[in-house]
Amino acid sequence: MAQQPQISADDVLRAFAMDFEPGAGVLQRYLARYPEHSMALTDLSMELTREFDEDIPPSTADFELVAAGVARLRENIVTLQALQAAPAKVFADAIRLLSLPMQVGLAFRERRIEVATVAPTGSGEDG
Amino acid sequence: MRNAAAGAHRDKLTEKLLLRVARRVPSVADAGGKTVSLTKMNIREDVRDHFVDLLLSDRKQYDDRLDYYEVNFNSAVAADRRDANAQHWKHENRTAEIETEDGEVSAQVELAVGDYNPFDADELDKKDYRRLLDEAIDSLPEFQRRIVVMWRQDIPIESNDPSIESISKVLGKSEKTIRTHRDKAFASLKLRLERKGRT
Repeated sequence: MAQQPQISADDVLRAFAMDFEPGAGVLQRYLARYPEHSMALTDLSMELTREFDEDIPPSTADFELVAAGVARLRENIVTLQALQAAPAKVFADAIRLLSLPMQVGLAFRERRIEVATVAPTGSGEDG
Repeated sequence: MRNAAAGAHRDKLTEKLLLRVARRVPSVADAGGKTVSLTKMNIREDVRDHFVDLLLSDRKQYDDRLDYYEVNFNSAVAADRRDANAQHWKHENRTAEIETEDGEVSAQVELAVGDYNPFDADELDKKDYRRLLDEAIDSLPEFQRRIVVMWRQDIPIESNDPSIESISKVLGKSEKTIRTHRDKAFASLKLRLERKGRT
């Protein structure tokens, strides 16, 4: 008999989260199908029924949490060095976005141009 | 947002999404704005960081894990909360062993519970009640909390039908133990909700 392909806990939980409707027997169905994940499914069921008051305006703590996330996203602006190691499609998309000729892009990728010799963005334009 | 070009517009959308995430993770501050739980703060930050990780990953190369947020944002964040809870509460060793296997429900508990049902439909219609109920359930020991959560989703305590999952089967305890701890949990919920000015 063919073995059932193993589904990861993460896949089961994400599928449950998408299917869940309170009181519709979804937990019963998932417990029966995935008894090995029963504790996690039960805990997730609690989170899926949790009440949040959307009418309360965001708190200072909410804005602080957001600000730290935004700061992290800004810190992660892609560098040329990081792009050199990225998959070809990512690199090609970046070159297109920068409106650079593909030959120049390839020269960077193949390290035929020394990154340190390139003038920083904006130099000579905005003073 | 995923298809938006880098720039002020995408930043604005990203900020809005992050605010939605922040508002779907329980607050850690008391009425005076003072942080009352470091663990809860870590959970909030973990959920936020996970979402930021996905955004960064998706910017490098399409990441299908972000699809869940497009299908049902609130449920996807709920799953992230569960992941963060599991990690942090486990770390804090919150799991309490149940004291007695088949302990009798004391007469006091029986009297306190009576026919009390925290999931009374009339009460559940009230948003404030649902929020207080969630807080009260959170405060229960893990074993009792799981009983209550399953009870809420109509999982029977015991079933003779092997195809039906029961609370007793899932938690690997006798029917009597489950009933005992359900009653204890209901007594705790009743007391806590009464203290908050509800009956």
